[in-house]
Amino acid sequence: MRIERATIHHLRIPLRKPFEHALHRRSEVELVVVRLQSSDGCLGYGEIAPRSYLTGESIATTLEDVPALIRDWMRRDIEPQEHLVQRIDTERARCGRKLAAFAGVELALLDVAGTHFGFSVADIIGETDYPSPPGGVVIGFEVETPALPRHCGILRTLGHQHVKVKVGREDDLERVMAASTAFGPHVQLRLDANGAWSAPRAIEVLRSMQGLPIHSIEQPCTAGDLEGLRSVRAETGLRVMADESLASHDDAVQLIAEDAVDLFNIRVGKCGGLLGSLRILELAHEAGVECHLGTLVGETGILSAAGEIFARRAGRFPCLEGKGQNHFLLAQDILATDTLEDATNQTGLGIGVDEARLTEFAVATPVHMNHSEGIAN
Amino acid sequence: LNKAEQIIGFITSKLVSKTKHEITADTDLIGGRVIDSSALMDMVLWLEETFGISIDVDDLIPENFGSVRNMVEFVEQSLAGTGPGD
Repeated sequence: MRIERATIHHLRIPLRKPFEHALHRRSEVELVVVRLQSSDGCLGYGEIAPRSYLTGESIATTLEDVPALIRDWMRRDIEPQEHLVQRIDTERARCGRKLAAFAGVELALLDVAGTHFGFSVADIIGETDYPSPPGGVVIGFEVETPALPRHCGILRTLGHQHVKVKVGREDDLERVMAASTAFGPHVQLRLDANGAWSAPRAIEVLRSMQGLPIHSIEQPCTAGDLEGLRSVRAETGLRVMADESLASHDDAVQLIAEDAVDLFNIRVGKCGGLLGSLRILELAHEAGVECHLGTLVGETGILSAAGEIFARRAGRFPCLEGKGQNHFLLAQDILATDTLEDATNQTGLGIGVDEARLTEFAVATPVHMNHSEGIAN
Repeated sequence: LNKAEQIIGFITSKLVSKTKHEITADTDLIGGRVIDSSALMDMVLWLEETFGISIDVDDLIPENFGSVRNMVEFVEQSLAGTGPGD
């Protein structure tokens, strides 16, 4: 099979409500969708949601990098499942920190190859079909502190048990206490500072929360401050999760070697795709590091499908944080139909994209590549 | 319109108008994933405004909001001054 055509769509989709944490506030999301078409007309879609604070990528770098990534695949015959997996692993190791861009191209490639050869992308991740994990919710800064008790009460009414509270404000203690009061002592809150604190400040704030039901503290210090992460563990006794510190396989190796954290936050869109996420998960299991599965705020149904497939076949995740956000956060998703519940039983990623919505949300004219141009350039 | 009809009208016209859900008094709104957190928040604000009641955080439990029938009972208890928030 060959990749005959490729289209790169730059989209901007409004959110139904804003979302805010210590590093970013967004009321719309910009993303790139990669569409690959095989020589026999099969289609595959991938999504790139670049975050500068995770991988250093932006929309601008993505639009520069993606054509070259696609061109490499256009030069090759795309082989069936096992060979393709080996090739993707090899190429990802050479992509540096272009991990979001690589993830989008990888998803499109697996989707089109799965459709062409008749395999489900889920079968690449694992053979056992685990139950779909419950969704985890995130309470960001967009919920003002006076409104927090009612907001938490709403989430409690809906039965949410996996709750993350963004921290890194002056009134963190008040907010965490409000959440704890609403959810009760049986719900262990996951706190996430998005690297907002220095290690001493993190220790000071977290000590003030002693006695509250806290599951873990995610990224208390900046991504490169592994010593800080380690000291927060030692001084507070809380479990520390790496998010901004963890994108590549090399990041995982270093975090393990330096014994910096207790947990990894894996997200398909930042970790180089499904296979990049799987390799980090395998490494973590060998090292005894527990893993959490997250999503990217504002992702569409393409990355949501990938996350669902990963959760169902990799298994062992207590929740899928942000699950279903393509429905409740985006003004409108780009999927034609929602088949996520049956995502592991279909060829490719098992998704169908509404191409009219790619036009509706387009920021610029799509970039088209065809096989002859791919070879030539 | 009685209260149940008013509530069903609000849910179908404002909250889930784009879905295929058919809402009855006993539809499981939470377990059936008919409403999400934004929809429930809108619902609470609308109930307060429409029926002139005040909904306390402690009132936010599935027993009061799991179905239209639950909500009608909760509103009537609140109006009678016998609800959990009074």
